[in-house]
Amino acid sequence: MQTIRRLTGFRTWIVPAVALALVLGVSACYEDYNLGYEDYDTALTQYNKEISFTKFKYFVMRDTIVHVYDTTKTDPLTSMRKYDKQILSLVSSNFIARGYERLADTSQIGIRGIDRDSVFVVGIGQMTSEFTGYYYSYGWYGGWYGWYYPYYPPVYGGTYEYSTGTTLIDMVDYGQTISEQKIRSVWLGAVTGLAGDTQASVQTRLSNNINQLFIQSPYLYAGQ
Amino acid sequence: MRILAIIAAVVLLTTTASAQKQLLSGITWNIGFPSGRMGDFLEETSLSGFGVEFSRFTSDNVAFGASFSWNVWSELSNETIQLNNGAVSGTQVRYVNSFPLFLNAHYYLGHKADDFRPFFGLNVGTYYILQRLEIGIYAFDNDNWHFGVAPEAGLLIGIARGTYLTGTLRYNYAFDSGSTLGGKDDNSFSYWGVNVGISWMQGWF
Repeated sequence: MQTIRRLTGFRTWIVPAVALALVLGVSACYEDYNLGYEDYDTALTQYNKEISFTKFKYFVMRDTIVHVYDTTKTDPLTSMRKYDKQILSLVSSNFIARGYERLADTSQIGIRGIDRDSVFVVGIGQMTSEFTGYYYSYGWYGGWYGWYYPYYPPVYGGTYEYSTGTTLIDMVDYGQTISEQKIRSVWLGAVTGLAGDTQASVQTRLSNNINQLFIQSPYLYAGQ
Repeated sequence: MRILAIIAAVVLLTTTASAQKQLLSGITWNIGFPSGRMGDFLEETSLSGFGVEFSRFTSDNVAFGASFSWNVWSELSNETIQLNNGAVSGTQVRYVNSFPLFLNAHYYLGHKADDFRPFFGLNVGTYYILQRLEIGIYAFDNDNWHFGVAPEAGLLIGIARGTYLTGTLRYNYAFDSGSTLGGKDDNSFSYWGVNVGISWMQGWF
């Protein structure tokens, strides 16, 4: 086989060409997915695996959402009150769709002779958090927050402040809580997202994510 | 600046090495295909990667060398992640960065004057692997050094005096090290690599 001998000046331009290709390749390593507000939402559920959710048949839920904040300051979640009705209605309808019957209040347990172990209480709370991040090289940095750390959305350069809102839905075993005199949470749903979006978009995001909490909890349904 | 430093180092090392006797040096564009449990984390092919390789021939057919390479995978996902006692949903960006650093041995078929020289070899060394999951406003990182091996087969194609096009199929396996992002036991990574590039030989012509 004959050796191909041509392009004697080949190496004079191939190195810069390959170097340029490498630059382009490396530059493309972090893709910009053009994420919007809704892409920073999360729907998290946790549950007690030792509980059979079919033992429950009834639930009690207050028509109030509790705001968790430093009470020496003004409520930072006042603007969220306009979504209360939507959230309360959606949570209630999801539990009803799973076969649970809503009681007007706990007095119904005694009046109707209902076994208290078949009842759970739903509590809904909201909280907000403020974060400041700063950009450095390729890294994202933020303050440590428990076992995970938040990062800020992709804005290049300088500092960036943002706030998040979280809606927590807590499902408490009524019978066990009464007998043990200790709150026994058996299921928790948390929807977290960035604040600052339009009202219409927030409504859509809340609906989608609250529904998602139930979609990803297939074990949550009433017994016969 | 870091990118420019990497490029400068690649070009400098490549041109310096090619001035030595019996040295084959080259740079490659590396394409990566996730497999195994890494393929469960993301499925996208990595087109962002490169490699730098140096080999010293001890005979017409046997060469020993070293290599460094890098690949990054990124993927947008909406898959619900199952946890031990729950689940989490949301838009996710999943990343894996792999930086293999190898010593290697290769056997080249044919004669040194041939234009087409198939070869096969084995890479042994370490992988630095950085896995990252961004979901919602949260980010989770997991980076570990892994012992690893990478058998490969390829072809040298002569295109000019002492200059070759190279193509390699390499199976990368990084053994279990550290803990997984999700807290499970097996933290091994594997992927197939198709590496194409150009190499320079000094001393045969």
